[in-house]
Amino acid sequence: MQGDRSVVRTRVNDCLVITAPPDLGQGRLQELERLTIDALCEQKATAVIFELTGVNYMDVQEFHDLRTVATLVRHLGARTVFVGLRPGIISHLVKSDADISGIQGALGLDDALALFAV
Amino acid sequence: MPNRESVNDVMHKFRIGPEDLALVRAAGSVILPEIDDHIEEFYHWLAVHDEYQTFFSHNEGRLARVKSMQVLHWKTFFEAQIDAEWMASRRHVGAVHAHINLPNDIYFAGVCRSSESIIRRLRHMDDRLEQIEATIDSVGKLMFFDAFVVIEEIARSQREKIEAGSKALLEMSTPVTPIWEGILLLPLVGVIDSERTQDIMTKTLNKIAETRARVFVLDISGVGAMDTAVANQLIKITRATQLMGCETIISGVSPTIARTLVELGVNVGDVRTTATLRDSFELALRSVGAGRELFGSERPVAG
Repeated sequence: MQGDRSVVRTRVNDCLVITAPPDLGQGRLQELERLTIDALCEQKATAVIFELTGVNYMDVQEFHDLRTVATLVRHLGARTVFVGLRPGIISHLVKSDADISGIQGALGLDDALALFAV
Repeated sequence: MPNRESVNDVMHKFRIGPEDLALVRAAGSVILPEIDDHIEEFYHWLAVHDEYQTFFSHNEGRLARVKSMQVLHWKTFFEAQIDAEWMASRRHVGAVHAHINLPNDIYFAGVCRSSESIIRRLRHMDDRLEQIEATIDSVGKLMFFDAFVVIEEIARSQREKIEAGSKALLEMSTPVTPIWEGILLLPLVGVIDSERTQDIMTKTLNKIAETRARVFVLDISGVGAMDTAVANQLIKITRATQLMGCETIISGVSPTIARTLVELGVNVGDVRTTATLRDSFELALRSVGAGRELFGSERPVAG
């Protein structure tokens, strides 16, 4: 573990779990992208779970950047799921006309792991 | 409760200054001894109106109480100490009028009648008042100000009632209900606008988080009209629920609505839709794994 404010990556069988910090600003999304891609290149994973339960706030740009990371992951051959996005954040994104189409979500880590039959 | 500065600001708008208040106090010193006559004349006038019958005909005690409160009202009026306490007392009058639903016409007619009576009495006392015209002008301005504070409170109270009613209506109009383990149902009725859509989304997302629902059935058979904006709003709701891992099934899509969607070129994408609530419910039960035990087979349902 690398402290509360850093991106954390964990492996559960063939799934890579990327836990985002509460604040995605100040270069943490770039860190999240680097850690995710590095992990995928080092060890094969069939799915990447972005664990967002701890994220307090996300603006449209941060969501867009996170979505770009998810697209990159899919290009590398892994499925993706966003876990634990708060209702308030989703409402804000929809209100701000963010493109939220085509993203698989899950309420909790258990649900996400079940999606990939882990 | 306003502070002293805000009271002064409002008085400034009415062009009421210290000289006006001094003239009102001077008028009070000569008219207050006759105020009982004025009040009797006022109730004599009021007695021929329906409102008198409504509020006083069966309640002599109330009439006596209101008369004594009016004596107090005119006493504080002619004391002309316009401060937060004075404003609070006038607002209280407004709150009482709002509470008993006193019609505005009889209130303003009463103010008009009082003004006429007070001014007539002041004119008869012109030998005891130094500046009779200026005094009448100042008394008139303060009466308008007094009536404004009362009516403003009535309006505020009515706005509060309307807002509370709208809120209650909005609450009732979006009953997101768990109908099965993992299934939420929202039957929509009436007109959908952007405010209501936002409310639907907020309530639905919170309910999904609370109940950990996996399927959300949105029944639109009670929705009167569908246009591009409404269709897009509904699609946004389905995508928002998908972000929480909850699939949305839209039921009650009538042939008319389906045709409208096609004609408008609205792309519903991968949103599952059914013609009837029954079909949606069956799909939902299968999604949460209750289909096999209830229906005995995995027969696909048209979606």
